[in-house]
Amino acid sequence: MREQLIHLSLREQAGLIQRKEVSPVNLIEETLARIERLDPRLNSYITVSAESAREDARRAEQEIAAGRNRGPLHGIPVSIKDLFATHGVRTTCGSKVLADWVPDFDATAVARLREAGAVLVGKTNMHEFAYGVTNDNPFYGPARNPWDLERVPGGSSGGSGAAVAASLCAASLGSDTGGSIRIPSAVCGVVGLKPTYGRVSRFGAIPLSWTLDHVGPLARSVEDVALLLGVLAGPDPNDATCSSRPVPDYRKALTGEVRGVRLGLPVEYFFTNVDAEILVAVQVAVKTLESLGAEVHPVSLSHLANCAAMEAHITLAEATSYHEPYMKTRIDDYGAGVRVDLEAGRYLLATDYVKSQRARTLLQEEFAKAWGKVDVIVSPTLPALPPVIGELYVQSGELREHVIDAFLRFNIPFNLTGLPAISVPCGFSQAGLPIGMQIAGRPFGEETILRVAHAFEAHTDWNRQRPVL
Amino acid sequence: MTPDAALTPSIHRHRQKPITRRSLLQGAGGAASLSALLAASVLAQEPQLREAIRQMSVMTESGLSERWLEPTTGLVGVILDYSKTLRALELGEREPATFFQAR
Repeated sequence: MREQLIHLSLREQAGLIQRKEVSPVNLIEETLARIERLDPRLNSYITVSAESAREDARRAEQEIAAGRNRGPLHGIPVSIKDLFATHGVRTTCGSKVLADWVPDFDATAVARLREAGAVLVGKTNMHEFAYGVTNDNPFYGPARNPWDLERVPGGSSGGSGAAVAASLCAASLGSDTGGSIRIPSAVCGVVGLKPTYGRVSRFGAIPLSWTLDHVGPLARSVEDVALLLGVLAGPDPNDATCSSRPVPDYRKALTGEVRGVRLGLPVEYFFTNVDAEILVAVQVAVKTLESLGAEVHPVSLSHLANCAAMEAHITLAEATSYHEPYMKTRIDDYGAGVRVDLEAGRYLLATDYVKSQRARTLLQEEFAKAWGKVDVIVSPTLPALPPVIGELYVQSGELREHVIDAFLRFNIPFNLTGLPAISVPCGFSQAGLPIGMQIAGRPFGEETILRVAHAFEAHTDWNRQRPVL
Repeated sequence: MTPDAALTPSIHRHRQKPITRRSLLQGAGGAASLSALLAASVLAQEPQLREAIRQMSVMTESGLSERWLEPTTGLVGVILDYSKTLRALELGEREPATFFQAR
C-alpha cells in the first residue's frame, strides 16, 4: 500500500489528498523515507530540504482541513533542478563555483509552484551549470539511471529524471537548452515537456544560453505535465521574453481523441542514424496513433544539418559571456569539461554567432511551412540508448558518435526554433532501457502536443512501468 | 541565512578529465563516421589554430595556459569544421531578432 501511494501519478495523489484519504504530511514522510533509502544509490538530489518540506506539508494539511484548497498541486512533493533560485535553500547549479549560494529570492517558476501549494522536497542533481547531457558531475558525483545504475540518467536535468522515475518526488522542475528536459525524460522513462520559448518565465534560472534556455516540467504522466504547465505558464515582468498570451486549461485538451490529427514524419534528419530498437519502438508508436485515427504525412524540413553548428556558436558564446566574471576569479573551480567549453567560447567569431541567430529565422520559416501540412512532428527523442557512466561515445545505428552530438541531435531543432516539444515513453530496449518518442508542435501549440501524447499514453502502459530498486 | 540542507554532499576532488564534448579526436573507433571524417581536417589545421588561439588569448586577457590550450583548440577546431555549411548558407535579408521569439 505504501509503495503504491508513492508510485501514483501527481493527479492520483492529488485526488487522494483532496478526498482527505491521504494527508500531505504522510505523503511527504513517505517520500523522504524513500529518498533516504534509495538516493544513496541514485544520487538524484544535491540537497534534500527535509525540515522545510515537513513544515510546508503541515501547512498544506491545515489549509486543506480549513477548506482552503489551492488546487491539484496542494501538498504534492515536487523537486527542483538545482539551477533554480530557491529562497533560503542552497542553489549550486551543480557547481563548486556556487556551492555556498543561498538565494534570498525564488525563481518565478519556483514561486508559482509554492503558490500552488506544492511541497519542495529538494534540489536535484544536474550536469555542472547545465552544460552537458550525462549528469556526470565532478563535484556531487554522477546521478544514476534508475533502470540501470551503471548508466547515465541523461542531462542536464538528470537528477530530476531519475528522481521522478524512482518515485522520489511526484514531479520535478527542469530546464532545457538543447534537450535537458527531454533527454533525461527519454532515458529514465518519464514524461518531459519543453514548452514554447516565452511560455514559462526563465527568471531566477541560472542561464546557460539566454536565447535557447527553456523551463518546463518532468512527471510520470502527460496529465501531470499538463497540470504543471498550467501553474508554471504566464507572463512575468521579470522576464522580457515571457509571453503575455492567456494560459489555457491544458487539461481540457486531453480528450483522448486524435482522429484527423495530422502527424508529420520528417523524411530527413530525424530517422537517420538511429539505434534499431529505438527506430522500431517509435515506428510502432506511430502505428498506434494511426490506429487511433491520426493521419500520417511525410514532411520535409531543410537546413537541419546546420543545427549542430548553430547550437555550438550560440551556446558557447552566450555561456562564456555569462560566466566571464566567474572565470576571472574562480576558473580553477570549474570541472575540466565545462572549463574547456567556456574557454572555447572566447575563440569563436562574432559573425558566426550572428549568422547562427539569423539562421534560426530560416529554420522557423521551414517549420512554418510544415505547419501548413501537419499538426505535430513526431520523431525519436534520442538516436541512441544511454551510455555507461564515463563512456563518451554511443552507437546511433551505423554511426558511432559523441554522446553530446547524439543526444542533442533531435532535440536542438526545437530549442533553436523555440517550438514546444514533449518526450513520452514509448517502449523499452531488450536490455530494459526506456525509449522516448518526441512530439513537437506549433508555437504555443502545447495543447495539441499534449493531446496527442495523452492519447498515446492512454492506449499504452509504458509510462506505468517502474524500475525495480 | 543558512541553507536548509538535511543532507550536505561532500565536494569531490576536482577531476581533471581533459576530454570535452565533441572531442572527436579521441576514442572515435569503429565504422567510418562523421566524427572520423571530420577529424582529419581538424588535425590538419590544428597547429595554425593553436597558434592563433595562443595569440588571441592575449587579446581576450584570458591567459590560456598550455594545459588548456590543447583541448580548447581541439574543440574550436571541430566547431569551425562543421560550421562550413553554416557559413555558406544564403540568408538574404533575414535578421536576428532583438529578442528571440518563437513564431
